[in-house]
Amino acid sequence: MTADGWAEGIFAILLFSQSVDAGRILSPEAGYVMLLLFGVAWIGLGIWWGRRATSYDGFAVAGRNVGLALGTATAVATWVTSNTTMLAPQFALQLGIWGALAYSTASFGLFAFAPLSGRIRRLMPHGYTAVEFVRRRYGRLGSIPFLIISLFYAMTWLISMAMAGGKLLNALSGIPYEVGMTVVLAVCVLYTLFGGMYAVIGTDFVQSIIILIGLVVVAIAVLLHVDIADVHQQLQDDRPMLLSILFPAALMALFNNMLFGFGEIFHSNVWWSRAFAMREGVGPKAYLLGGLLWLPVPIVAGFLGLAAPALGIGVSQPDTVGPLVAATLLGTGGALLVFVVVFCSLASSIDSLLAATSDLVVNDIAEPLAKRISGTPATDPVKRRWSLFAIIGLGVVTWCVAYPNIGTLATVLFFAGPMVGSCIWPIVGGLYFRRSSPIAACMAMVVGTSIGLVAYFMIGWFVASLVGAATSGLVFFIGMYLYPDDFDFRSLSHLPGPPLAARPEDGPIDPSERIGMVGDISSGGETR
Amino acid sequence: MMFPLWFLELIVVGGLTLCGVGAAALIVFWILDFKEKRIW
Amino acid sequence: MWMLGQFNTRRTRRTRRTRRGDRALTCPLLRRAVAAAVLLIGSSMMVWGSVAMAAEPESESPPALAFVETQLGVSREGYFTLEWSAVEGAALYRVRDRADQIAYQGVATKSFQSGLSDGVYRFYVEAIGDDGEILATSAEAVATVEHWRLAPSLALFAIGAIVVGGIGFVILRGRWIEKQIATGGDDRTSMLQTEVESGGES
Repeated sequence: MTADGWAEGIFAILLFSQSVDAGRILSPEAGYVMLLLFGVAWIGLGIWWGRRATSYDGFAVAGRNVGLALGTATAVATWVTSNTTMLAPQFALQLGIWGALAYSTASFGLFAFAPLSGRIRRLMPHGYTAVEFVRRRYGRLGSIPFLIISLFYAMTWLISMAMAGGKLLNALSGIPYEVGMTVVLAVCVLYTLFGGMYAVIGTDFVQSIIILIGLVVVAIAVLLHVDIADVHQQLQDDRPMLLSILFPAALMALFNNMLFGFGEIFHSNVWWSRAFAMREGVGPKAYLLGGLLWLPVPIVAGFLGLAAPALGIGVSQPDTVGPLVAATLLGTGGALLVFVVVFCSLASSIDSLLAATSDLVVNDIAEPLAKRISGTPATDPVKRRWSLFAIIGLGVVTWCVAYPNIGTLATVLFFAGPMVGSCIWPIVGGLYFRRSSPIAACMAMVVGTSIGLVAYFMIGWFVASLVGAATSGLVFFIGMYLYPDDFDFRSLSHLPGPPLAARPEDGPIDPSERIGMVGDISSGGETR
Repeated sequence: MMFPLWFLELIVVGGLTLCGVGAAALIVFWILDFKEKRIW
Repeated sequence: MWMLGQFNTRRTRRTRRTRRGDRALTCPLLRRAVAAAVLLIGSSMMVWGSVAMAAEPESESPPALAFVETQLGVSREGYFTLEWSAVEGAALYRVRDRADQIAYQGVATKSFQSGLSDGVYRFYVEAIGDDGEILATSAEAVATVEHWRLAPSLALFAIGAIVVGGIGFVILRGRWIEKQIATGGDDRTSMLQTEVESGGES
């Protein structure tokens, strides 16, 4: 079919959607066509970029040579999840202007991670994961709670994104939840499987541009329909606290969200794997620019939520107010745009999580276990194969948990705030202080998480990360004072063990494992 | 005490501008990286 | 960034389980702390656990129009969700407040209210038919808004600022020392190296 033919076909479906399925923003047919188009596009691009992934280094960290354009874009796209486009409006509707500002402060996490990413890259030129750093920095005492927190966070994020995919596609086009969730997840699993980090970062670039342009178009459409002064007036009359500078819950939420963002970025392997993937010197610039580009996204998206009352749009569920406003103002075109933006937001996060979490599973669970059992480290091709199994396994587990569609969007994320908040100091201290000790890190994570969870139940979500970060910081410094370490940072730059693939005289653990590896080359890794 | 109208206008219009500039900047970075063969 | 996903659901859950919540408030702090510690230890099961916690049995819609909960309890953040039973034949629902102002109009059986100042709010809902006739009207639902006190909120705001400032200070200081080491540095370098040391390649 020619491009014109496609356009005519899509147009016909859209018209059909308006006449037949007036209750929905898009018809299921239009939704399926969009899913098919973008699904095929992402998988095709994944395979295209994945040709470069000829070694485990290529597959896991994109050859450690990613440039500024893709580095910046991947920071933006990964940090824009479906929640940014959907829940920033909700947050604005709940906590007002402070809410939109508080959400946007999550970009400060990217700013703060910029110098950390440079240091990580320098300290561990051969590193793969955040847990690997913690294991080598703090030993088992630090790495066990950190691994638990990392896996919990990654899995809940992954599951919530898959669930969000199913629900959103259902809300926008009537595609059954199970079908939408399965397709979104399957598409991401497939292209991550084929292309690893190359595919993830490559598609992130396209997705970030679509998200930013889509958001600008929707926001301009809103501004053409309603004056900012009207929005302000309406809020002042009907929802005055949304404009209040002294809104107590919002004041508490501001630094809580900033610290939540810090915790998410500092501890998560999604961000560490990108730090390892970027070329020397690129990481700090890319994260800084990424933060700057991400900063306005929640504010613009949040404005959609604030504009809803002035537009006379009844809000039943605050997490769908953004798409609702866009579709109401822009009709089918707006719905189509929202569909694409949301699909991109979902895919850019799910693929990153699949790639980064599979690295955790391979490097921090499978490899140490295998080493303990067999006594020798795994070869590059073996790790590459494990990555494929890990990605498929993660996809299957996510699908199984997300399939029943239990609970409302992201209910499964309850406890992540204090957990990630309590990881901030062990990471920052571990990167900059020689005296940071395993016991200080372990106690900081355990006590910070526990007290943060207590605050969550006693006061509310808007203080949990703040309390977690504050108490863990206190415990960390006390622990460091009482039990100081004297760590030699240079030890981190050494390879834990020479890769077997680079030592052909040793031979692989199991030569038969090398057979049939897609893209495998006999000479070993790209960068080792 | 309420956020004044000008502040709301500032963050909305400023945010919108930054989003547009951001999309353009990404494309410019890509072109520069492409020319210098430094994409990957 | 997904972090804010819990907000709406958290609020809804809290309002739905007001009675349980009230009882829980009487529990000693220690009990909650122990519960939190158990949650941490069993975090590998949290994914499933939290999913299971989220499960709420679907109640069958009663024939008459009624709020699912008529006493919504106290909201400390000024927002809450009103939810009511569906009425057969209703084309849309309209929620009105005590002053008969329309607080919501739409097809859903939920309405999200936010940005409210301290006070007691009463709502009722009308089911509207295809021709605009009122099919049914509910009894009142009552919600109380009582915001957190400003002083502790500002105190937490200040603690947050201190923690964020501390993180920023440590990172910037570390970066500065790294630079000093990388460029050969001044006389302080050797002293600073005891605190922060660059990687092997710097």
